Amino acid sequence: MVYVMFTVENITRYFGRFKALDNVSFKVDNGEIVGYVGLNGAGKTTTIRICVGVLRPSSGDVVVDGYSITRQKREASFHIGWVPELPIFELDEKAIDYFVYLAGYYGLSRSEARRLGKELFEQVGLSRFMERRLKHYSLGMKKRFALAVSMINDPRNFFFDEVLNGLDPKGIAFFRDLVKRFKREGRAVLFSSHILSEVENIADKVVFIHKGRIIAVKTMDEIKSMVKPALVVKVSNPDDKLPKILEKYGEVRARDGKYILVFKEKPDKNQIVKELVENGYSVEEIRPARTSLEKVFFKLIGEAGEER
Amino acid sequence: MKRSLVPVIYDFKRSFLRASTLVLLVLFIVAGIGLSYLSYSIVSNLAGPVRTLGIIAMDNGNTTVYGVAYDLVGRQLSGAKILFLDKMGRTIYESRVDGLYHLSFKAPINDRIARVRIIYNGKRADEDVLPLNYVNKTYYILYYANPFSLTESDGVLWMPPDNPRTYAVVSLIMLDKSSGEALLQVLSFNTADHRLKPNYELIIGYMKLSSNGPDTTYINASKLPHIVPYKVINISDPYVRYRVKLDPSYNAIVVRVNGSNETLIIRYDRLRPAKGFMIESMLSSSGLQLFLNFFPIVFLYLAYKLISKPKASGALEFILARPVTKWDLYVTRYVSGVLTALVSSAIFVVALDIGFAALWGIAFGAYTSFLLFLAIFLGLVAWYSFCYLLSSGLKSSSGYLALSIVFYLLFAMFWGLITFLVALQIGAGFTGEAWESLSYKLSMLNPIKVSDLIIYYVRLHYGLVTPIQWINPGIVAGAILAWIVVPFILGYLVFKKD
Ligand SMILES: Nc1ncnc2c1ncn2[C@@H]1O[C@H](COP(=O)(O)OP(=O)(O)O)[C@@H](O)[C@H]1O
Ligand SMILES: [Mg+2]
Repeated sequence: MVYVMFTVENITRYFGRFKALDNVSFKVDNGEIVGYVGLNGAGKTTTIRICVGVLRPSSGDVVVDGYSITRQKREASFHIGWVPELPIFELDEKAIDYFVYLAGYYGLSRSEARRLGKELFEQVGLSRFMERRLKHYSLGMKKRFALAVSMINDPRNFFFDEVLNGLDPKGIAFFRDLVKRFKREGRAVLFSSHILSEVENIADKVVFIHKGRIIAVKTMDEIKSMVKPALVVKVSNPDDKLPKILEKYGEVRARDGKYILVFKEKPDKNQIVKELVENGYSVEEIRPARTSLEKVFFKLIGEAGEER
Repeated sequence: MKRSLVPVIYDFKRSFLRASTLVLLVLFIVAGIGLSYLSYSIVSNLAGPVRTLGIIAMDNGNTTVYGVAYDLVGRQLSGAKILFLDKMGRTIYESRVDGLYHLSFKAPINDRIARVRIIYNGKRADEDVLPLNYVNKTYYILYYANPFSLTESDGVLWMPPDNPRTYAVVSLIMLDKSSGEALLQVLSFNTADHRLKPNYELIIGYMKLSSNGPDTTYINASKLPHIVPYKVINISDPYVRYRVKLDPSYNAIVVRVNGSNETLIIRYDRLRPAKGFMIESMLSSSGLQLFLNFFPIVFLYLAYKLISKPKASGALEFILARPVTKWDLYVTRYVSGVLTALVSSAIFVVALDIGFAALWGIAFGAYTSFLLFLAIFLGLVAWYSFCYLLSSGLKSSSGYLALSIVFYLLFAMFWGLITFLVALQIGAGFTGEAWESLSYKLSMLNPIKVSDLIIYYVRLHYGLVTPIQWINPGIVAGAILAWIVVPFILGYLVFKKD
């Protein structure tokens, strides 16, 4: 039987009287990377903590490879890897010792765990720091350590909570490559971030969460199509007629000597250049405007806000 | 599902093999034995690890001594040094003696022995002596160098005046009050020729004396109050040692020379058992008390290290993402604390036992060792359970530390004061039975002291405490179990919440 790798089913979670999650549902398939995007405090971490079984939902359930996290915690945990937002361990321990300890919960003997530890520390780039105490680890190293631990049982489902946050470029590249590899290996990955562009190049699908509610689930293509194309045009000899000419192509906004053209459809750059040159303008710059994914994000939030 | 012992072992190793636990354990063992030694010296000075009794015949400086050196429980001791001093404290003669001894020496004429001193392993027992009799220009001096003895009573008998006379020094050593085991020593000395073997019979019996009156009574009367006969022993050696059973329904043993009126009555109800005396010295030694009162700090800290701190920091959450439930995690870390308690109590009791054996030459015995171990172990577990509850229930780890330290001070440091105040309030007095009963009652409300109820049974076994009616094994087990189980379960209920 092939399961949908994991499904989040109507989870609601209260902290006291505060409803941090409101009927959250989504699913992540085999070989799928799902971005989980929302502002700080939206409920991403709370969702993930519930998914990995360290926090109980007030209602609802998460089913991982067919096991309910609330009713079959032990079995479900065998299928889950988790790199927390801020990995916290018992810091007085040596990394490899703590790894062996945690591996014990998976039924590994000391020697098995040591052998596996060597291998996984190597994979995550920590082999030089195995004997170091965890309190001397940097944030990036802690995330790598958490990753090594989460790979003990070679699970098919991974939860990365703001994993790129606070990492140096090397670390960012490492985790991006890793996630892509996981996808190729057919694992299911949930990748949370408060920045949509962070998941742009890796996610297949984005689940948007806002104030504890899922406000949209969109494929990356859908999201990209929501971004209107635009061009930045700069000429060295602008005059009053210039906007008139540009208006034929789309909406015109002028900003510190530059003109930004926003189009309904994909514009023909060459045609615009041609016309400007014919009218005696010397074109200094013409390039696509940096598309703002975050605008899409805010637009979605805005709509959700209006709905309420 | 495959479960590995690695986490339990690892948590245990982190608990037990941590520097703070080991250092404290070693410290307490050293302090424990050191302080037991201190109390041993106090007891030794009171009861003496070495004793001797004997008789001296001095005839114009020609001195003959006949005696025996033995320890608190009547075993003959080798390598003691005996000194005979005059009234100025000058040594007239000294010699090394082994067990039964027979000495002949020439003392300065007119310098009579006024004091006998025996030294063994640096401990000594002294006895001022006075001549007992003067027969045919010979002084006879009897001595029992065991001053302030609480476990032994001595007396003297003289045989019927069938010339020449025989003296007998008699001593009764109470070994164990609950079983009534005792030792009777008889040292006989023929005044005409001390090399002659004695030949007479002693009739032993029991009687009941009124509650006041002296410890030993010498009577020479044909009529005696009612005596219950026990046995007749034939004395044919200069020194005999008999094991006797003391019947608890009487309070005195009667020793009478067969065929004469020579009678010695030794009461035994006031004697304290030698072994119990040692046990009591160990129980009340500051060594054990130090351990019972201070070692719980280790467990206060363990609960902090294993639950409170990782919970507050969030480290427990990372562990919880492994294939375990909260219950598994809760139990694993509890068990590692219990194992730590188990191993440290076992080590401590063994160390104490070895120290005790080295000091007294007697081991606790299985019963005492086991009860002592149980008391220490269960006491630590009860306190650990309590700390475990606090650490599970409190969000902040500094809050836990503050509260647990307050409770620790209350239970370990101020409990005596609280008991005192309660006694004052209800007028129970500060010694005696009512006080003891109140102390035990209050200890049921205290996880650090609740195992005193087990130690009560050690005391009871050696007759060190008068039986307290309401204490029975069911109540003791119930109180201790409640202190262990209830906090453990409550702790889980709060730990489970998130
Ligand atoms: N343990 C908690 N107790 C009370 N409120 C909490 C707790 N954890 C999270 N919250 C609240 O729930 C909301 C969602 O938090 P979180 O899931 O951490 O958001 P995100 O990860 O998206 O930034 C926030 O308003 C946060 O303050
Ligand atoms: Mg978060």
